[in-house]
Amino acid sequence: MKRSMLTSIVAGGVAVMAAVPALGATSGSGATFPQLVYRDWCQQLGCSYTGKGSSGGIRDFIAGTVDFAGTDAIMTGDQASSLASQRGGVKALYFPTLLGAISIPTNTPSRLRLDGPVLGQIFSGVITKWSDARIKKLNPGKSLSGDITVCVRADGSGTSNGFSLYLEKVSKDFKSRVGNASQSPNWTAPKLVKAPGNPGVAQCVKDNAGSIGYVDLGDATNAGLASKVAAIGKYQKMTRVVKRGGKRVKRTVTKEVFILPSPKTISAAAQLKRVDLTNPYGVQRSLVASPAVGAYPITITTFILAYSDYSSAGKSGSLGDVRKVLNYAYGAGQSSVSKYGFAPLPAPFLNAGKAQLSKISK
Amino acid sequence: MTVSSQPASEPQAALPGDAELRRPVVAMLADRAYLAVALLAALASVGIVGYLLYATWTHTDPVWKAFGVWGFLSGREWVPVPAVGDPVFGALPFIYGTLVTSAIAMAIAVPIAIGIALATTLILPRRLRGPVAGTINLLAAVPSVVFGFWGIVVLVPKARPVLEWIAEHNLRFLLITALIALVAAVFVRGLARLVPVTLAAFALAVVVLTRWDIPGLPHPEAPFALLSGPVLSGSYALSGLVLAVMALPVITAVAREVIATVPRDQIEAAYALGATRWEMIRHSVLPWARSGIVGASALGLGRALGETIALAMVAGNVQNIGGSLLGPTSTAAGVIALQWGESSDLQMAALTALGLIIFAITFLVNLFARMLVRRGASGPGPVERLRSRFRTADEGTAADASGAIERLRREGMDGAPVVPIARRLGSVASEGLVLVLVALGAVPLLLLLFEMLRSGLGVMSGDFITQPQPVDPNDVRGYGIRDAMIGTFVMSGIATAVAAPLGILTAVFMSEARSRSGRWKRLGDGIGMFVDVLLGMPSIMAGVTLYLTLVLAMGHFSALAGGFALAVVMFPIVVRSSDEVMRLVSPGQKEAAQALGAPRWRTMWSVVLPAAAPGIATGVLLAIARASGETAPLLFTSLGSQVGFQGILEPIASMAQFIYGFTIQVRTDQSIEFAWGATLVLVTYILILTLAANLITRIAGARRSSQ
Repeated sequence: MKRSMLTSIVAGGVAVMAAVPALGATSGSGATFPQLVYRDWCQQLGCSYTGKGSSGGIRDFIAGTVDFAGTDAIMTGDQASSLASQRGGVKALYFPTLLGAISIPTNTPSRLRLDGPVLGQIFSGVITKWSDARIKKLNPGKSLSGDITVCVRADGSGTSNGFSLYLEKVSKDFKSRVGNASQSPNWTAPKLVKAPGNPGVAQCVKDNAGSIGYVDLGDATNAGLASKVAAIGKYQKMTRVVKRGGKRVKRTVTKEVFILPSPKTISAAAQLKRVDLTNPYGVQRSLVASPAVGAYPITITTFILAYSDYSSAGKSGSLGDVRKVLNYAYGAGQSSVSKYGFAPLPAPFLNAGKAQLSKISK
Repeated sequence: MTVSSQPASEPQAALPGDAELRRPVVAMLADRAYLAVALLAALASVGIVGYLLYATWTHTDPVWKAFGVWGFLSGREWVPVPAVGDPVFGALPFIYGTLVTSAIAMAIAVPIAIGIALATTLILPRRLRGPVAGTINLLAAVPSVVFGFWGIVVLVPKARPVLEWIAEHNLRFLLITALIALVAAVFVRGLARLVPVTLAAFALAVVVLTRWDIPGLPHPEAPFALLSGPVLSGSYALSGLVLAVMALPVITAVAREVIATVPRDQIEAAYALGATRWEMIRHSVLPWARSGIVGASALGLGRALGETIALAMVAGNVQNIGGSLLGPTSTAAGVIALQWGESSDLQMAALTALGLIIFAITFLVNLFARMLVRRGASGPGPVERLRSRFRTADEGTAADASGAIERLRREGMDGAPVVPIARRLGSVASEGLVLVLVALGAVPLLLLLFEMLRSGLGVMSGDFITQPQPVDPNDVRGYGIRDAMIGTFVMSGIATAVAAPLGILTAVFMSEARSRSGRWKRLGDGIGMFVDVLLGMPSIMAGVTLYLTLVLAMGHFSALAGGFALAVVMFPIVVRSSDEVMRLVSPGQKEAAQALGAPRWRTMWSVVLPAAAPGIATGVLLAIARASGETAPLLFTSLGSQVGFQGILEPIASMAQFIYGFTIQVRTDQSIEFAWGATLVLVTYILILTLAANLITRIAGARRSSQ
């Protein structure tokens, strides 16, 4: 009796199948960080993108089960060599697509000011209480108490990679206790809750009193945490006019300023005049803790991976579509990134990306 | 069991005792062919499990080389990216987390499920039974990812005050729980004479516990590490709770089927002996249904042990052996899902090994369940036990059946039979307890149903089922889930077409093997064991295996690979549920058919399958429901797609993955409502299937009885 049900299901499926000609749309997978933007682009272009994590995308890219991949992380040497051996000697080309901020929401009565060293100490478990003098010093006049619950990603993530890239650069405690930047850092804070996805971390911050986390700006805004996102401090050289002996003198001083994430402060972080896409790691590192004036310190970029040679990779059919995606990314696509809490690429990035497009051979 | 075999049957000629000479040869050949087909199907299942085990095993070598078997099993550290030195992988925290959360879930779900099953078959007014049972069946169709985000969005805030109370008064909570368990045990065991004493003791204890501060005894607020605060948003307790809610409909549905098969004469016999309704349940129904209920619980436990996505959202995902149950934990299936995508080679091997350990744990659980079933089966028969109980409890007034009937007759003269007050009280209290359990189970289920209807109906419109899916989670108006619906129908269709025939045939083989001896029986038992192992396999492993084989071989993700992965998930559910109901077909009927000279296939086709058909249909539908809601196996096989259907050899969207994307990967108020809408559509789809199956069963039944 069941059989008649499934016969009809299968028959229905076959009927639908027969009605639609096989199109075989170009598909990509990988990083979840930029997935809303990529899906938006794909909706315009008729391709398909599935967010599953940077390493998942890299794995699919190596196995050739997708036409392009999204990643926030750089391929390791092992990954690069298995790509070469499995896909006819091709290399991966890195195309930056947008700039994004990792925000630090806290579940505290009001917005806090925090900086790199203190964040490193909180996430590595050196500071465990809100009443710690080092936090108080940054937030004079605020009454803070209780244990700190640290919300981090449970799954490996480009967001974790970007945040740890920042901490690695600015915090000695992070470097000695947690280690190097990675997709899944071994956080050593004593009171940890790990949640899947950026929305999971945002939810974790909302659910636990006295908690802190890191999520991309769009997800923090979606979760209603925009007003609890910390202003991140950094030392910035400033010119100040002081009076000396009755004369006004310009002097350069270094002062800690606190900056909130916004499309403007994100764009400010891209201070490179010349972007070398053969060194994507260098590009990433130039963005975090950027010394540029007014730059939000935890700024990252994300890449689309394309094969250097589509016919050797066994994907000659999809090259045209991938070119279309990338052309769109460096053209009209840039205007839709701010809708999702990201910032468009500045000119040097766009130029480098467009120049690299010509390097893809059939 | 195929359509073509029906016309081949010699209609009525084979049944009555004529054609004595011709029949044996024909019957023997038909039986041979029938057994061969069933055997082939059963062996295919062994092949699948064998292949899965082999495929997973070959990927775990580096782990055993690096840490050794014992080193890996007993390792308490799992650090993929340490600050200094090499990565370390130890499985113990995940084994511990998996076992403890599943145990909490079973402790909550099994009593409630049995309570609901009893209430909806025997206790509640007839008019209420159907709707209540239907509602619960419906919830078996809710995809696990929905339980996960419902857990976070609805259950966590509601459970928080309770958990905080527990953290504050943990010792008191522990004692009250123990007391309730004790009282429940007394009622369930049917120790009628102890009821007044127990009730009094319970009342006294509650008074003492709630206002106790007696010198010399521990203070009621004394800290108890396993239940101490702080209450976090991810914990053992919350995981157990969400798992319990997920397992509840599954266990209830199967337990109901089992209880419905208790023969009428067992029930009549108990009443004839003067039993109250509860005593009838206690002595006729429960002993008869015990093995089925254990099977149902094993099914639920299998789901709990292998649950991936929902747990990842409420577990807190921190390795935490021996920590407070109100603090975070981490489970094996959860860590596989969370870390697989970003893992190094050694880490992937370690995750695969964790998957194998779950295989092993389920195997042991099932072994244990089987031992329980066997022990239950070898005791005295229900009526026998009922007699001996009345002999001791009522000083021989109902020394045997004739005595009881005698007494009934005598008492019937002046009205209703007099049941001693203690027994009456015990029965009423026990049934009250069952209704309390029903209420307890109904609360979370109704909450979920309410949320689904409220939010789901809010987004329902023509567009919702005819338009492609939205991209911007803050701008969903005018979009829908058309492509995801098509994807789910296509893939669950492929899965059902593969799993249902194979699964039912395997169950048929197991049923035949059971009635034989020697090699056949051993083979049947072996296959049953394999099916149980498959049942507890984390569904994500089905995806992993098909990824490693079909997807990589084809060079891309496809609807076909997704359908096969879902078939692997469905197959053991179909076998196990079909087997359970076939096992319960009255042996008398089978023997009667065989005594009339019916060959084996004829007995199966005309006696066993018709009797078991509704149960089998329920099992298949539960399996489709489960498959339609699966996310984990699809992540590695069908990929998902944002363009429309492209053919079964291309990536494809699905409703479960859509819900996953719009609740876990991206979450806004609008996206959550949209996900509820998708859930409502999915559940409605299952409901339609159920109704269709019921209708067909009824028509088939009517046609049979009219012949």
